[in-house]
Amino acid sequence: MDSQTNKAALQIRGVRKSFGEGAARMEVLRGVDLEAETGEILLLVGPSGCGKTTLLTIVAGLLDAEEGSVTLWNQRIDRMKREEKTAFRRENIGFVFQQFNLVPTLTVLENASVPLLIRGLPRKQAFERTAAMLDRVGLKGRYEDRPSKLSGGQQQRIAIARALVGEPRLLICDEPTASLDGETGAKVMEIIRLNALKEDRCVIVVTHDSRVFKFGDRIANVRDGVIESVVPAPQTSSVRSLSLVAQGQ
Amino acid sequence: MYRIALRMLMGDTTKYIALVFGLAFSTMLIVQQGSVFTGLMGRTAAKIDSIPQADIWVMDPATRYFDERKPIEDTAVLRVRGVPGVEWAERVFFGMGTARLPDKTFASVLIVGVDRHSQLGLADRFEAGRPEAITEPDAIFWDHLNLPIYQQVKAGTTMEINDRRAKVVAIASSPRTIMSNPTVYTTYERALDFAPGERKRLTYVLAKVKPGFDPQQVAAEIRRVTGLGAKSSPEFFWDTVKFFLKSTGIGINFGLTVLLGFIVGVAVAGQTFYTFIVENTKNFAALKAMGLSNWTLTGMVLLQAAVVGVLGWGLGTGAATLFGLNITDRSVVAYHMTPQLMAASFAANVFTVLLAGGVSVRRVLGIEPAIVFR
Repeated sequence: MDSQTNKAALQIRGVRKSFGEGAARMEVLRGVDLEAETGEILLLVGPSGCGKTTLLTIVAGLLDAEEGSVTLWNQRIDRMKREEKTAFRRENIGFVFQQFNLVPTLTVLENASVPLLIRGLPRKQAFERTAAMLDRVGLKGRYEDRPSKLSGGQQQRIAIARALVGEPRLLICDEPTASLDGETGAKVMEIIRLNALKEDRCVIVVTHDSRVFKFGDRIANVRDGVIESVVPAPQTSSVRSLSLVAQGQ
Repeated sequence: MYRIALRMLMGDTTKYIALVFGLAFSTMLIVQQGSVFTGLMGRTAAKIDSIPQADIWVMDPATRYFDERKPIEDTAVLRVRGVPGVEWAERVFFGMGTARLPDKTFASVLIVGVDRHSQLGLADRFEAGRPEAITEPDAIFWDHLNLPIYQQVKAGTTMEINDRRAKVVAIASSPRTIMSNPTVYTTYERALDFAPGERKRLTYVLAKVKPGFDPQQVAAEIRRVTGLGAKSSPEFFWDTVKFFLKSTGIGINFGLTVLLGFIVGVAVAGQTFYTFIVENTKNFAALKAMGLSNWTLTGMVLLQAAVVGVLGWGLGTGAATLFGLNITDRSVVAYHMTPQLMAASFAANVFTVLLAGGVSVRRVLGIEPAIVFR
């Protein structure tokens, strides 16, 4: 393997996916080829219905492609059985959802600690690690609150803490700023950039919010089920400095 | 994750209370109505139960239940005494009579005549008078069974039973029977005087078996040797209960109420629990996306269902017990909670929980984690 291959976190080759049957059949992905490298934030952008969320779902192993391959760190996720995919996600993938998907009856600490508890970590240990992560995303002292007591931005921070607490190699974010105002959205992206990005990790963000483009490293434009282009993100100097902080430089 | 499952369940207080209340209400209905039913059925054979000293009841072979009395010959008691395994045998008379009460009204009374020496079958709960005076001329005990209209009779009252003079020397208050006729206790001979004459007068022979003998086997031996009917006390008790069950429709009527309780429990708990699962679909999907296995998810849902079931059962049986304890007049409301009833209500709860949990598990397992992105 050359150094280029070693940096590859995600390789997507010829992925096709359609929904419906007969006349109602709609081809959502029509042969997608894409790569993401470790240490980068890849933004998937495009208009609604272009297939970016479907692609993300296939990458996460939550949906099966009809054709093509999906390789994450040299493991063909498309060839895994359902249970193997579940185990792979448990150990390697973190999620940030547009609607946060926090359990309203659980406290902030409980919500964020779920990935560790799923892995079977003892409760005390899980809570200690989670509390440290909550501190990092700016939720110190809010451990025992219910999510409903917090603002949208704070709830998304809980979701980010939940996604990162297990230190996943791949962080998948689906429209993480769609439910937030501009300033809060920028703050959330800063947190993701600062905490999720490490040399051996990769972040994929689905968004159509142009305000967050500057927080990515590359932008993949999705149009009508194919990758139209992949271009470098227009990073500002402040964002670049965030990357340096994140990578301890 | 199981603790998280419980937090998910209990965090939604309204739904949680509705779930527990539904099951508790269902359990309470089952136990409470079941207890009343058991109490009522027990009353049908209360007289058999009230003479625990007797192991065997000997009667006419055609007798099916306690209140169906066909007298047998007086010599039957002697024949029974001669059967191997019988320690002792005593005669007892049961018959109906009409008593004129102090307020000039009449009452149908159950006349119980017992052997003057052994006094087997005599009332043992007295609230007034002199029980030892039973052997005095015309002496009777008046048992009003806690029925207010018959409490006008006091110790010392003189009345007529089937036009013969009777003097009340003691007032008894036994548990009420299904027929609720006041009971007149007296000696065997005096009872025969009160009752209308028949060729045969003896109603039952009560027998005790010798230590080491099985009452059922001795009863069979009595039947073989004497040609009479003979049943162990439990057999006779249950034959009487079964007769009332079959002939009165009490079982079906109470069964319908118990069934209603059960259906209410299944409907309320099942629907509420299923709604709880449906409302948490996205949360469960998110957990699955994060790598929660189907096994753990199944365990979580079943644990939630089990906790609700056990709590509902506990509260329901507790409420039914409190109801039983707070009945002010036990002679009016027949109430008898039994371990079998508790077990039956628990089984009904387990069924409800398994049904609600099973349907919910099916739903949860079918959740596509991909919906978290929709």
